Amino acid sequence: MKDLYYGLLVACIVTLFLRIRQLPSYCKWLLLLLLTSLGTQVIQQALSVPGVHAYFVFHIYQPIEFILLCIFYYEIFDKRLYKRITWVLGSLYILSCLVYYFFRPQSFNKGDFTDFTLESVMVCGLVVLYFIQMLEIKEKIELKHFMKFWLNALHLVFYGGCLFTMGFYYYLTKTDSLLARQILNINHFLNLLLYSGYLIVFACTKAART
Amino acid sequence: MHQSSQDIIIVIIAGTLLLLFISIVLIFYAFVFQKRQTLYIKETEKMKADFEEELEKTQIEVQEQTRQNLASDLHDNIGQLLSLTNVTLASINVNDAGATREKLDTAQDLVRRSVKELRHLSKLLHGEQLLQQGLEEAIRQEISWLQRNGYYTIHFTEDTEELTGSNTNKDLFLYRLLQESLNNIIKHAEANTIHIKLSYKNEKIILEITDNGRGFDVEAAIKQSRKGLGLNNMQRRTHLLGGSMQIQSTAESGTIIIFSIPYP
Repeated sequence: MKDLYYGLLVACIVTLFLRIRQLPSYCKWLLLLLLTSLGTQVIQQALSVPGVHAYFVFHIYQPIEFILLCIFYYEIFDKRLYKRITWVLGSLYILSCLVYYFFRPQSFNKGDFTDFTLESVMVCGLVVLYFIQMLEIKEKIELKHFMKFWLNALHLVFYGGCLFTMGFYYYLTKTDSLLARQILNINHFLNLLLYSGYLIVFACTKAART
Repeated sequence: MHQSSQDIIIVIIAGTLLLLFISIVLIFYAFVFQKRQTLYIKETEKMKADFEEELEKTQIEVQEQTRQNLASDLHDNIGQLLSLTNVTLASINVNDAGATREKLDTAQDLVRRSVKELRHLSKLLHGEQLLQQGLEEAIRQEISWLQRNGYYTIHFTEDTEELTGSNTNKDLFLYRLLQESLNNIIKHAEANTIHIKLSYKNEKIILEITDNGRGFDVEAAIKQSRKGLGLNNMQRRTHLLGGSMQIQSTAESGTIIIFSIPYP
């Protein structure tokens, strides 16, 4: 599964890199996001020793991921109010992470998914905001070729699905910790689904008009 | 173990339901979005059709107004001058050389004035073509026609230095709005001084018409659309262009009408 994961991630990065000039400008933030994700995985693997996972790498990556997503959403939102909401959410998220790990330093190198759960909630909120904005578009759009719709649909499936697994994970840790760990495999499948979707969107989107 | 199996089943069912729910939401959203798009396209087409219809109506009205002005001028000015010429020539007594010379000079002067009026009228006939020379020129010609009877003092100022580009359709609408406003002043205002200002600011063209007439109750006039002021008509045309119309009027203090339209 790891090989498939890395394969899809690299394929997304290469496809996006090759088509970056033909695609809209907001795609560069997704390229940065994917590169950061790949870098995080590689660093985490390199720093991990048998029996000890370098979870802190993920806890550093989460805010970076969310900030890049916020910049992406800032670019695709047209309304000033929505842009402001994006910045507020981004600032709130960083503040929340800092406060959380300041008061719970022991969680910084543990498999604590609080930051990821919070990020998932906020991204789902941004997706909903974008769908609301989309309803107000006053021009003819062919949905099947509308890149922003598909990217947001993928984000909804991925982060919505992750919220579900996080919820079940916290429930199951109290009753069956083995099953709880197995539940996290759903996140891996969701990652594969996300990157497959990204690959299709980046490869099949028509060149943006200049 | 039994608890474990139950938990697994719950996870699978809940996960499947969630995936189904998200898929249904996305499909439903796509359906609603497409429906709104279809509605928007229909609305846009209707607005386009309304605009074309209104443009045609405006062109006809401008032509009609030009013909009315022409008929009025022919009757009031040229008709009178030629009648006077006829009377002068008919009254010539060939035996009285001195008076004859004087009457011939008068007749010649009258004919000269008639020719001058005819030349001026020929410009009026090309009223719509004046718009091709620009809105300012068309407004100047309209003002010149109105000022010829000597009753009205009209001041025209323009501030369109920032304007680049033109839109002949919008020029036609603005010209017609000016004509309608001036018609209202002539028919109802009992004014003798008119200020016309044409300016361009923040990608909008602003046409301001002020008179020193008797003023009127704006709200009542808009409600009673049959009063002949055509205010509803003017408002509708302005909105069709994406602009706005403001009227300020108080009894015995004159009226100000301001049209503000995105341009070009």
